[in-house]
Amino acid sequence: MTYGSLINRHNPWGDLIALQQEMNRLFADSMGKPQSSAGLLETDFAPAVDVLRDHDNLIVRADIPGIPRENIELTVQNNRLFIRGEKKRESEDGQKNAHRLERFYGSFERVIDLPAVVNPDSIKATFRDGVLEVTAAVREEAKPRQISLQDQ
Amino acid sequence: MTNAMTKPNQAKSETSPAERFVTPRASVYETVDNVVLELEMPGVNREALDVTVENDELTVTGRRLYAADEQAEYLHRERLPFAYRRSFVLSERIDTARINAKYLDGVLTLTLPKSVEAKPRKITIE
Repeated sequence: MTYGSLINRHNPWGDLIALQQEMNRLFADSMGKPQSSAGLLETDFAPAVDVLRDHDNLIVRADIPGIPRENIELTVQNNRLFIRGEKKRESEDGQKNAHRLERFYGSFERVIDLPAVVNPDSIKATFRDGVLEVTAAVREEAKPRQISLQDQ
Repeated sequence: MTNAMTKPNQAKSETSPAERFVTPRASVYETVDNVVLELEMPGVNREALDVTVENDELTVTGRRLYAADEQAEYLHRERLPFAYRRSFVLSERIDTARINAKYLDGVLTLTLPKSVEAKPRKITIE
C-alpha cells in the first residue's frame, strides 16, 4: 500500500509559476545571445563569449588569446555585433617536434545580436591579455527608473 | 626523438575541495635546446600568475579578474569563472633552475632549457 496519493497536494499556483519562469527564460535567451551560425562552416573555431549587463551597459567579453590586436575585426551592422579574425601560428619552426597541440588556430567568428535597448553608436572595445571586451551603453529611456509615490 | 619531454599529469585530480579550476589549452614543442610550453590563459591578473616547480612537477596557476562583475547580470555565459591550473611532470633532463616564463596576449610561454647532458654532443675521434 502506498501513501503517495494521500501526501500529494496540488498547488494551484504551481503551473502558473512554471509558465512565468519559462517565459522569463525565453526572453532572457533571446536577448544578446551570441551565435556561431554560418560562421562554423567557414571558420576554424569559435572563441568563448560572455554577454552581461550592468545598470548602464551591455558588455561582451571574448577569450581570444595569442592574437595581436590588428588581427581582430569588430563590426556592427543592423544591431548585430560581428567578432571576426585570423589567429596565426607564431612560427612554423616549433611544429617540427610537437608533443602536444591543443591550441586552436585559423579563422574565427562570433555574432551577437544586440538588444534594442542598446545604442550601437556608443560601442567601445578594448583588447587586453587575450580578452576582447566590447561595451555598449544602454539607452537612457531603457534604464530602470524609480517612480515616486505621490500623496493623494 | 629525445626523452626530454614533458607529460601532463594525469594521475592528480584538478579540483580541490576549496577551489575549482579549469585546464588551459597547452601546446608543447621541443627544439634542440629547449622544451617550450604554450598555455592559453586569457585575462589573468599578472600578480596572480604562479609557476612553481616541486621535485619533478611543474604547476601553473593563474587567477582571473572578476572584480567589476558584482553588479552585473549574465545574459549568456561560456567562459568559466574559475582560475586556470595545469600540472606537468618534467623529465630529469630539464634544467628547472633556468625556466623562463613570459605572459603576452593571454598566452603563457614557458621555455624549459634542457640540461647539458641531454643535448646531443659530438665526440671527436682522435
